[in-house]
Amino acid sequence: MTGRRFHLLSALVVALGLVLFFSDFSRFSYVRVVVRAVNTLIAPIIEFKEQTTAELREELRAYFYFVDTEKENIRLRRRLNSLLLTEKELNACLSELETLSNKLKAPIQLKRLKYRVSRVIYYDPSGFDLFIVIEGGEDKGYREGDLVVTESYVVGIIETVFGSTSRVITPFNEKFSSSAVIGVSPKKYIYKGGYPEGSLLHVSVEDKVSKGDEVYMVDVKGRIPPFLIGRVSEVRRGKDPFFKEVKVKPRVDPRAEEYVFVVRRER
Amino acid sequence: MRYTVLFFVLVFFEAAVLQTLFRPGFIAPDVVLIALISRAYLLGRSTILWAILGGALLDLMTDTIGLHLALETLSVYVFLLIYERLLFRTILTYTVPAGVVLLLKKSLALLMMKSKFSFGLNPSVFLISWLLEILLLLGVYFLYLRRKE
Repeated sequence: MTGRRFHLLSALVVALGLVLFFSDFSRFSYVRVVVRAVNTLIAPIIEFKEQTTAELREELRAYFYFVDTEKENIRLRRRLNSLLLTEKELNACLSELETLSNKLKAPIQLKRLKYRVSRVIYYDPSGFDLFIVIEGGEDKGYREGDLVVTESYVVGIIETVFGSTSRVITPFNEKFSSSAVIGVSPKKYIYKGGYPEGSLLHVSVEDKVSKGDEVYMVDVKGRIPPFLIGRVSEVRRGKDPFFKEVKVKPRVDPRAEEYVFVVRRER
Repeated sequence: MRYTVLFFVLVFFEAAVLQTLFRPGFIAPDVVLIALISRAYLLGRSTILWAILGGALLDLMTDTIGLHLALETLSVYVFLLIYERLLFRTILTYTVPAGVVLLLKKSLALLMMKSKFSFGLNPSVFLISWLLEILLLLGVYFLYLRRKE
């Protein structure tokens, strides 16, 4: 290619490309006919290209999904290791406590809790957080009435057990009821669930209850340690002249829980 | 003939695969331009016709009428202008002008697209794409061009 032709051709093509790009010539009707004709000629190639692109996008999506899953697995493994460590620490504390109680000759009736860790897999879609669904059901030997807790507070009670999942009612649910105490007081009451606040039943007018007091769930037989249900949010005189009306704001936020402990009732 | 087949495969590969892997698509490593530059290094000015063909095909396949046609042609033209003024051939006389031309093409494409559309661009993607192109240039030089010198 001679010098002048080479420079001229290059300059013309660059100018043509720029004009085509900036002027949107391809939208003009007479240019569109040409574009359509060219597109018809290379239609099979473009179709094949679209197929390849779509498949590649699908593969990429699957790849990133697996990468995310892998990251989630690593995170869960770390969390599990930390929980196992906590369990070991707790066991060490328990044996130390037993040794101490033996030395003091004040035997403490400590029975090791039977529990399993489960993952929360579904939340109440109504927004009232009346229940959650956890992993594990008949396959893990869960039973209706088993207590579901976190490290320190109550998440709920298993209401229904399915094959591999269980439905847990939370302290926001009206079906939820349990024995409860206020702070360190030995007097037992009944906590009844409700949304947005549950209530303590049969609190007599002489009982000292004030706003902010902690309400614990207690096991009548004393086998399960107390777990926090919530705090007293309101105390007022009820319709019944002998009892106070005590409202309790549950501590649990079911949507924030990812893992829970299911404390097994002993047979 | 082998070059023709390879060229069309590369056009397709760039339009269908590379432009899907990179966001935005035009920032993807330009393997077609690398093939054109390699051809220009060996065979000289006639490569400008291949640049016109490759640019037009890319434009048709990626629906960016004019962008690749102008930039591929301009890049090969600039490469030839620089390269023809060098008196001897070494790896540097190939990679340095080619690297500059690839960067120029990428920057111009970015400017042209920015002047017309609004989109976000991660500078590291731009850099990775250019570094990949440099690696490809080196690969092409050591695996193929060096033997032809």
